[in-house]
Amino acid sequence: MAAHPFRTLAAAALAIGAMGSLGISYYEESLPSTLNPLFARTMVDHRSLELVFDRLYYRSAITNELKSRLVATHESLSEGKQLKITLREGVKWHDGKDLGPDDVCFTVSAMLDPKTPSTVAKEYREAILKCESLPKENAAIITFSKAFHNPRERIAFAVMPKHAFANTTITPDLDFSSRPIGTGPMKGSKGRREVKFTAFPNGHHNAAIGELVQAEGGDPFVQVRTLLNAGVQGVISVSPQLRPEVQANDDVALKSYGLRSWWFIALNTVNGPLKDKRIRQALDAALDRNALRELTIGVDPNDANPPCEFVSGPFVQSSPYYNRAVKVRPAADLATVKSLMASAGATEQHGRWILNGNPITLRIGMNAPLDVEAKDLLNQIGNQLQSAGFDRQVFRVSSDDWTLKAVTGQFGKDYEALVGKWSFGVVEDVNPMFQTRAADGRGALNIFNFANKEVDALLQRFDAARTDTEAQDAYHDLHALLAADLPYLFLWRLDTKSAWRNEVRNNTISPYFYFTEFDGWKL
Amino acid sequence: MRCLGVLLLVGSASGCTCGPSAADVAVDAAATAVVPADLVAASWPVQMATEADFRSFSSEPAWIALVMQRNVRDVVPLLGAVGGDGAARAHAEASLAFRQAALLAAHAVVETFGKTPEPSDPVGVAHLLTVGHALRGELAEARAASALLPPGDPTEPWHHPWRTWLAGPANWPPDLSGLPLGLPPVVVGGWPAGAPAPHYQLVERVEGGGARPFADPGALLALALWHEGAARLAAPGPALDGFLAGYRLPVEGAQPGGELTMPWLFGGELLVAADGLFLADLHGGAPAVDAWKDRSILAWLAHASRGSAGTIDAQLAVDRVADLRDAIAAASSARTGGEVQAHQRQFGEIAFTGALRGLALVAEVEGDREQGGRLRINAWEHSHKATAWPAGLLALAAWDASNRYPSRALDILHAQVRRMPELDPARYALDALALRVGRERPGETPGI
Repeated sequence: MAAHPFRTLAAAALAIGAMGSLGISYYEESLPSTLNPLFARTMVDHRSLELVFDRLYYRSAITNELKSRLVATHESLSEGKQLKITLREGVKWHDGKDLGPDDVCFTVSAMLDPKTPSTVAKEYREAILKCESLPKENAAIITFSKAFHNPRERIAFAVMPKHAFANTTITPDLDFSSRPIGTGPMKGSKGRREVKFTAFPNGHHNAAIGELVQAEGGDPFVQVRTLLNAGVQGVISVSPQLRPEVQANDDVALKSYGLRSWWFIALNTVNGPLKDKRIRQALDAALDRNALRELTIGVDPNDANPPCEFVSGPFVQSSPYYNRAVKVRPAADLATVKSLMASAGATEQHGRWILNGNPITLRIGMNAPLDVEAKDLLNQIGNQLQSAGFDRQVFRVSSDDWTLKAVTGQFGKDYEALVGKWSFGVVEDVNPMFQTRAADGRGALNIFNFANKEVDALLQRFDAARTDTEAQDAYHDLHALLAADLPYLFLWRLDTKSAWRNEVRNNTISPYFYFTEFDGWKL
Repeated sequence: MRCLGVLLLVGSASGCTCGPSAADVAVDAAATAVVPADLVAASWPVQMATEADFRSFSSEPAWIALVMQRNVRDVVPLLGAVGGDGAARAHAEASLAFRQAALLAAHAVVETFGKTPEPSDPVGVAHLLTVGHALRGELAEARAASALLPPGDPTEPWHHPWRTWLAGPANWPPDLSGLPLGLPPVVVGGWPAGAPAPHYQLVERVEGGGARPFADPGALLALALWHEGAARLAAPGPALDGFLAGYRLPVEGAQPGGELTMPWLFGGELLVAADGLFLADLHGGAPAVDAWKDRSILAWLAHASRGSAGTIDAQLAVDRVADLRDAIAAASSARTGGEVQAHQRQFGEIAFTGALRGLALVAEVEGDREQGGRLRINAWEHSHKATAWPAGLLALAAWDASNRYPSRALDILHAQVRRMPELDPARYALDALALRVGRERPGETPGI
């Protein structure tokens, strides 16, 4: 359950008072679920980790140039199947020990260790075979499964300290997840109500801001009022309805955040009434997305570039994977609802749908922090479905439960529908959401353990694509199939805007990772 | 009645303020000392500080659509019917938008098929690379790519004008009248659609390879040149060249510009008459900044934003541009009784965003992509409605494509295509880049 906004506000204000003039605080969507980079799942995790750890390679937020703060030189070996990296001298871990090539190879070994249950490591496992440490040269040789034209891209993982772990089998429940040791600009410590980051001067980092306190955002209105009153210096995600107020304030600036997010209602295709595709389709037809958007996000009819745009599949409309032939359904169509429900064998009694002698009751959950961006969305969805004849119960799912249970497929007996969002950077790989869940990590983000052989075949086609066009065609077909089969009801894309007070200067926000350029932030 | 002009111009974006209101802001008069007062006084926002000043514009709905909604497509026929400088301005705006879309496509094809080629890429990408390199001013590479295109390729009808142009001295502009676009003769107020995309299918070189539908980047350039021609027809004279100066294609090189009169300045990102001259001269090198700093606000800002390296420092530039906004507000409000009115605030925002974008161009010419990029992105952060200038936004998209960062470019282009469907051909090239980049980069798992 989210902390009460005023309590959060008080905590943040207290922290600022203790920090002095070189500290700032900001509201996040929630607290991070972990500070261990191998187990990052939420965008809060990814953002927070960027302060604490260095990735071997990263991209400039401005020019997109591939850079490294840890690697001094690199050399391609074995016709591109190996990369030798020589580490920069003088880089220290937050506990004062020196970074060395053993740490790089330990991180690789941990990711390759099949007992390390990390979804983050999955894609590195596919590209990296091994790592050889050369301590005398302060270097490491990384061997790939094949020659890549961009091998440095393939090792853009966060480096972890070997000395902090007993062996390469790393689990999320270790203390490291709340008190991590990194080489990033800030030393991080996660408490119950806040995360405190303290600058750690290093050979490769020198953050100008001494302390940073991350508090959990509550009521979006309170967040913005606190920001405007200088109670905090930043808000990561400003509700669209409140953006005009922020924009009109001379002391605060809205900042774009390069993140492509789309919202959905995942449907339980395994248990309960929504096993029947016709009932899923009826729910889709029952939704009045226009009204939902207007009531929860707000729409400016004169805005040629609205922050919220409907989607008909698992991609944003600007994506090359978006199948434009699949049209969105902006308005409800109750005649279609009746027809579909009748064909599914349901009967309507006093405005309620009865199936097999019982009313259809939908237990609908929503990832609680989403209420910050789309106020009251859960209730509005429930109201619409109820007026279309479906009984409903609504629940806010805590961030922890969402991360640990919802996306891991453990809510199959608790809910018929779950409202959430997925966020992407440049990469738009949706396979983990729709692939049949398997022990090898496939389908790792499949919320209701949806399984469809046709979908699996398309996802396999995407993975095996020899050309960009084949990959695009596979995802276009996937989009069409999902829009018909409806394991999700697709809602909209909603862009993310942060707000920071103007006294925080030079605050470049990196796409997806956010704090990559934090060294340059100043007060 | 007094409020009518302001209401028309400011619309719902800022609300109408007739006299002091809560939205008005007090401005520190000391700020006016930062930017030379004569330059501030000569800027269009100050020249247009009162309703009477801009009545000739606010009484014309097309100008409201142009300045407040940046709706170029709707404006061209309306201002075209009036003719003169207004019509020329509208066509010039369209020309710049199509130019930047062409540059976006050029960068995208070179980055995709030139810098990270795949053995399966269609043979016809040689044509795309020809056009891409040509627009980027890389004529040797363009000729080399052209030589690789086999006879009978589906792109041949689109390639022929380029081959002919590259076979000679390549004087600007190329004659694209032979492109199968069906463009009508140039006429003021016209809005040709061009041939609908895709323009051809390129077959990938793998067993059973599929066809990749593609649109020709040359189509976008043809539309840009068509609108430039219409602008010249509407108002012959050097002002057009001054207006185009900042956003010409690399292949065009430096072209002499002219002083900008009020129809070329009003509601735009260039602030004084000499800003276009400065930008036209800029490609000659850094001395342009010193040469023009007393006549061009942009040059003055560039001069005042120099950091320790002697070139533009982005943070300094942002501070100077904020000073300029304050100075414009102070000088404008002084003409209307001391309170900043809603339209004055809006004009100041346009100046602020435009100056940032202009200084980004200077930083680029100085060779500092990092500082230039910071300014471009800062301008983009402030681009909403009246400050969302299509050509400026598409220029950022093109710049992003040149950096192999397609995400923001996709969003920008998607938004612009919604209002100007004729920009759609750029989407094909950018999609190709996005697909290639997206498939080569791990490390960004879907986030909750």
